Amino acid sequence: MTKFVRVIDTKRCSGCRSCVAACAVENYYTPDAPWNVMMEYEVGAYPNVRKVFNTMGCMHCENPSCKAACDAVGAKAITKNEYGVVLIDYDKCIGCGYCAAVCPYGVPQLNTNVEPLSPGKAEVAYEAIPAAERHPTHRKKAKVAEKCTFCWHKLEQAIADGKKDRIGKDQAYTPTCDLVCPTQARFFCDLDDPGSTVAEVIGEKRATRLKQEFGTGPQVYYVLEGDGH
Amino acid sequence: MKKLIIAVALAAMAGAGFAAGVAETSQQIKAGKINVGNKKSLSADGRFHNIHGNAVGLPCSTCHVGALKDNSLLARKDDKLGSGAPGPVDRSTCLACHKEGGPATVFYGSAAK
Repeated sequence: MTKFVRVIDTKRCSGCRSCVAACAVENYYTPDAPWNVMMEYEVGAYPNVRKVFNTMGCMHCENPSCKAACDAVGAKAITKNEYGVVLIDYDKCIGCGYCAAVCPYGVPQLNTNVEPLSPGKAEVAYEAIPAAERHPTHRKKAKVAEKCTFCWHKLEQAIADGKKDRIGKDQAYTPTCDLVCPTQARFFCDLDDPGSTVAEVIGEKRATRLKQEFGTGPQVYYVLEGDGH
Repeated sequence: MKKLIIAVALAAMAGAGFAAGVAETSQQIKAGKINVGNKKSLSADGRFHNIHGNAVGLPCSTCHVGALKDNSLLARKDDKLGSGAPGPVDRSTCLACHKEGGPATVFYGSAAK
C-alpha cells in the first residue's frame, strides 16, 4: 500500500520561503488562496529566544475533516485517493467554505477572486496558459476552495510512467516545495517503501504530527522546535 | 476541597446537559424541525451561523477569539480580517461537539496516533 508522507524539519528550516515561492510558481498561485504558507513565531525567554519557522500546506489527513464537512453539505467535492492524496474537484465545489472552517490547520482557502498577480499589467507567463491546457488541479476558479495537492500532477505522472519508486528522488516526480529546500529540511516519499527516507527521518528525529487531538491523522510530520500547537 | 468537587460536578452536569441539548438540536435540524435555511455559506446569514448562533445559541465569543497565540499553527492566522470582523476561530472549540462520539455531525476522528 502506498502512503505518501512529508517530513518538515523545523530545526533545519531557515525561513527562506523557497518552498513557498516554488509552490506558487508550480501551482499557479493566486493571492487569495496560497497553497503553502510560512508561519513564524518565537520560542524561549529573553535572552534565550529563537525564531521557529514552520511551513503549512495540506496535511492530507487519513481522516480529513474537510472531506467530512464537504460530504455533510452534500457537495462531495473532496476525495482521498488510493495514494492518500486529498483533492478538491473544483467543478463540484459549491464554495460554502465549510472545509476551510473545520480544518484544524486552516489549510483550504476559498479563492474568492482569481486575481491577477500584477493588476493592470501584463499576465505573468503561467497566468497566460489557458485553463484547458493545465492539469485539472490548476484550473483555478473563483469562489471555490483550493489547497496543496502534494503536487498530484507530478505524482500522477510518476504513476502513469511506472516510476512510483522515483517519487521523492526525481525532479519530475517530486513535489516542487520539497525539491528546492536549500537546507534539506523537507523530505517526501512513500512511507511504506523499504528504506523510505521519511520513515528514517521520522524515527531518527522523533518527528511528530501536529494537533493529534483532532484525530485526523495528518500525513505530514514535523521535527519540532518549541511547542507550536 | 468540597466546594471544588461540587463545582467540578456541576460543570460536568452542565456539560452533559449541553451535549444532550446539542444532540437534540442536531436531530431536529436534520429532521427539518428547526429551520436553519438552505444557504450553505459561512456568511452571517448562512446555515453555518444559523446553526451555531441561532439554533444552538452559542455566543460569538465561543468560537471567535480575539487573537490566536503566536505559536498557533493555523495557516494564514496572520491575515487581517475585515473591519468589524469578530476575530479568528480557534478550531479546538469545534472538538467539543464535532469529535467522534460527540453530539453533532462528526468532523474529527480517531486516527491512530
